[in-house]
Order: sequence, then structure tokens, then C-alpha cells
Amino acid sequence: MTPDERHRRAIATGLSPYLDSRQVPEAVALWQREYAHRSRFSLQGYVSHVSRLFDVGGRRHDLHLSLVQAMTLPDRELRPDPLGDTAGPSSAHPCTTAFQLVMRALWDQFDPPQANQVRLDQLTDLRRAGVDRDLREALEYWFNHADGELSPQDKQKLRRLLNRTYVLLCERFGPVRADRLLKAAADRVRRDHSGLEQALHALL
Amino acid sequence: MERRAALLLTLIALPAAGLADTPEYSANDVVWIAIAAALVFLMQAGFALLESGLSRTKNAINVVMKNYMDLCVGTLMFWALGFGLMFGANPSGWIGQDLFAPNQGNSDLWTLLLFQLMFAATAATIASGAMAERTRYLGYLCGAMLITGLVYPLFGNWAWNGDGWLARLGFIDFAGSTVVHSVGGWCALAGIMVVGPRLGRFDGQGKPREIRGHNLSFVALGGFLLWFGWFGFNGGSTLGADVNIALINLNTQLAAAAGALGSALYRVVTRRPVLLTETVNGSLAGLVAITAGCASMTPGFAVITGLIGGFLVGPGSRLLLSMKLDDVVGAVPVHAFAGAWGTLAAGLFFQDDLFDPQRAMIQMLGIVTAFAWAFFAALIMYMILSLTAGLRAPSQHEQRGLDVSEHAELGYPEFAQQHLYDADVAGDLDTRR
Repeated sequence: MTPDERHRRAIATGLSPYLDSRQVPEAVALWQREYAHRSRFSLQGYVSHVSRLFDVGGRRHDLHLSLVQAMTLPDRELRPDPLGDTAGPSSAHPCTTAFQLVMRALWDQFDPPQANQVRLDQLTDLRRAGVDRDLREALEYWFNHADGELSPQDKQKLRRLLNRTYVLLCERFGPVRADRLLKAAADRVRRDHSGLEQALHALL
Repeated sequence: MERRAALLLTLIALPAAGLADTPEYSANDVVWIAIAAALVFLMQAGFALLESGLSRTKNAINVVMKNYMDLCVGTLMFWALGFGLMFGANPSGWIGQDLFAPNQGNSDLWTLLLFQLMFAATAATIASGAMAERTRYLGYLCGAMLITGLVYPLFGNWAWNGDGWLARLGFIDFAGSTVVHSVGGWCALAGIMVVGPRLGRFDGQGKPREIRGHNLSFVALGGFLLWFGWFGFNGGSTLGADVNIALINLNTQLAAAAGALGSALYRVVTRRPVLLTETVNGSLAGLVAITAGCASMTPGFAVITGLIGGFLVGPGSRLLLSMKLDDVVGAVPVHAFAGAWGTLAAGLFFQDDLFDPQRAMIQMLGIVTAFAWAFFAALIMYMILSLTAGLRAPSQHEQRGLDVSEHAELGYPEFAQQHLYDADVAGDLDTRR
């Protein structure tokens, strides 16, 4: 386990009594994005930021204490890393990475309002899809913050989600255009990330 | 007609072992019927090409496979069960009681069996095109077995068995506008109702989206092959080398040509471009329509019958679309609607006794009976298959295409594809079920 990952797991553990399960990955992503590479005194600033963002200012002191305590807990007591290894450049979850890249490549083929509409369709569909709560919450967060990273997910579930996206594209644009959109997205991922060929294959 | 009935009565009256002593067909008859059977067999290739051409590349092989295998399972089912139900001894007028899996007989029996096998396979294959691109292979083949083993032979018994209750009323269907084509078409209608439309076929407002076939040359070639085979379908239904074949096949040719013109006329009248697909379907509708009355009407009426049959294709297709029914190849208007019209026309345009209301009523009774039996029997059958063997392909299969998901093969591995699953991608996909 890398130090970065240990920090994220500790942050997630410290935050979990104060934030709900959908907010935790968002807060950990904030840590990863803006505080992970700062000095050791950055925790104070992070707590302020989280308190403002998630409206838990009244419990700021407890939150800070909880985070400090979590940093000292042994590994076995820490919660799983909500961002997993995908946060780093050498991802250990290539299917999750490939899934994100395919989705972004799909959205990039639309103008922004249309892409937003597709994402909205996907969000609505998530509630119909019967996926487990953790996955749904992680994806809901990710669909709303697609520049961030999706926590690692099971490849079968991701394949099913990609297929549901294809069905949505068929319904919105017709099957002929849906085929072309999916092909263009996969071609782009294959071209720009040749190392993900196998992962892409597994999703299709 | 009369010859067919006489032969059947002979077959029924004698025990199987005795048939060897009393062949009715001359060698010339047998040769002609065997050639006609081969021509009807060739129609399977026509159906395969037509339906494959009207499907997308990713489903092209699946459509061909269904056509190939429904012929095989249909042949065995009809030999084992269907032939006996259709042509066995029929004291009640409703169901045949012997000649199951015939293993002993004379050349008459083998000749009739061979020819009728091809007809049964034709009835079964009609549904494959209508239900293309989203129907599971196994579920479809189970349906084809039940059509050839039960649905088709029972109606065939009523109309073509010498003791069938419709035949005794004087129902005219010389080569099967209703017995073969309408029955197949109504089964197809039930199939598309149960299996549902392809993904995205209709938009949110229910308007149909165009899903074009991948090879219209195949469609035209399939149309030519079907047309060619129809000379055996209608001409062979004399069940003998007969001078009447001349009129029968002339009527067949005239009706097919008029059908193509009829469909084109509809397009012109409604200010739409004249499509190859609808023109081919128009000629097929003309052929279906003339099948019932090709031996009993004059050439002029054959032209009218074919023209109206072809004209029905366009509005028939649009009627289905307005009901959100996705018939990929237009099988229902071509086979069911044109078959029903042709059966009525056979009564109306009966040579030397035109527009006899009593005959028309009997024809209508046959048409309605065919619908009531074939449609509802197939509806129940496909519903049961949907719940057991599975009929609708999963959306993952539709995404990949049924060629890959059902057969792990590709129709066009080396061609540029509009969809994702080319030879590289499809090569080692996990297709286990």
C-alpha cells in the first residue's frame, strides 16, 4: 500500500462518522486533488474546506480530531480507499480506467448541453438499474464530477453499466448512431491508451 | 386440386404396408414433383439472402443460421409429426391420426412427403425475418419446430387433407396463400408482438427510426431466387406433370410482376421514393397473393390479384409501424396480408364462376380461421418460449450483434464496420452463457 493510499483510507475513516457514504468519496477526492501533496500542516486547511463544503462547521473540532486519530490507526482498521489505485498514474484497475475513458470519449462526441442530457439519462437509469448502493453512489458522484476518478469497480458490473449506456444511446439517438458512437469512443481509447486494450476488451 | 385430394384419399385408405402396391404417380409426375421440391428448397436460399440483406452486418450470419437450421429442424419435425397430423387418416375432419414418422410406403408417399416437407419449412422460415436482430437462436428454433410440427400441419389438415372440414366446404387454396403464407405470416405477427421491437427502433414519441439493411443486392438476389422457386411452389402443386402448369406458372409470373408495380404505384401515389426493398416485397406479395388461385383464374385476374397484393405492402408496413410493431423484413404484410387477399381473390375470380358470394364466404371463413388458429397458437407458443427457452436476446447481445453473441462468428471479418465488433474485438470476447 502506498503512503498516498494509506492517507486516503485514513481520511475516509476519519470522515465517515460525519459525512454520508456519498459525500465521503467526494471529500477524499478533494483531499487527493488539493491537499495530498501539501505540507503536513495542510490537514487544518482541509478540515476547514470540508466543513464549508459539507456544512459540518459545527462539528469541525470533532472532525479534525477524528482525522488525526484515523491517521494513527493500524491498516486493518482503516476503511477501503474510495478512490482506489486509479488516482495514481499507474492504475491497478485498468477496467475502471477504461470505463471512465470510454464514457468521457462518448460524452466528448456531444455538445455540452447534449452531453449533460446523456449524463442525466445515465443518472436516472442508475436508479432503475438495481445496482448496489455503494456502486450507485460512487457512480452518481462520478457522473457529477467526471474530471475526478471513479473508485475501482468490478468489471462485470462495469460491462453491464456500459451496456445500459448503449441502450440509453439507442433510445435517445437510435441504434445506428449508438453503434457509431460506441465504436468512435472505443477507437479513441484504443488509440490514445494502447495499454488498456485488454481492459477495454473486457468491458465490451 | 382434385388430383391432390384423390391421392390423399388413396394414401389414407390404405395401410402403410399396402402403399407399395398402388403407386398413382407416373415416373414423369415424380420427376416433376422432385424438381419442384428442389425449386421450393431453393426458396430457403432466397429467404436467407433477403432477410440477411435487410439486417445489419452484425446480425447477418445469425439470420442465415436461423434460415438454415429452421429448414433442418422443420424437416425432421414435419417428417416425425407434422405430416401425419396434416395428411394422416382424418375421420373427424380436424386432425390426422397416422403416417407419423413414415418409414414404409411407396413412391407416392415419398413424393408427397418430400414436396410437403419443403412447404412446411417455408411456413416456418417466414417468422425468422420478421423477428430478426433481437431473437435468441434457441428460442427461435423451438418456435420453428412447433410451427412445422403443430401449427402449420393442423391448419393444413383442415384445408388440404381430403377429409379436412374446410376442404369439404370447398375452400380453395391451391398452393398455400393461406395454408403456408398467411399461417407463417400470422405466426410472425405473434412473434414480433412477444419479442418486442429492436433497441431504439421507436423514439420517445413512438415514431419509427430507420434501421437500414446492410446489403440491398442480397435483397434483390433473394427476391429473384424466391421468384424462381415459386415456379416450383405453384407449378409443383399440381402434384403431377400436367398441362395446367403452363397457366399456373404464367399466372405466377404475371402476378409477381404486377405486385412489384403495385408497390411502386403506392410509393408514387403517396409521393415517396420508390424503394428497392419495397419493390422486391411487392413482387413477393404478388406471388403470395396468386398462390391460392393460380390454377383457377385467368391471366387478367392474376394481374389484378398480384397488383393489389403488391399495393398492400406499403400501407401494411405502415400500419404495423403505427402499432409499434417491428417487422424487420415486412413479412407480415407480404405473407399474412397478401396471403389473405389472395385467398379471397381465389374465390372472387374463380374461372367461369366469378364473384360467387357463397364461395367468397367460404374463403373468408378460411382466412379468419387461419388467423384465429395460427396467430393465437403462435402467441401462446412464443409467450411460453419467452418464459422458458428465452426469446428476446439480452441487450448485451444486441450491442455486440447476434453473430458474435450467438455464434462467435462474423459475416464480414475483414471489412470496415460501422459498429464496434470487428474481427479484432470479437476474436476473444467472453461469449459463454
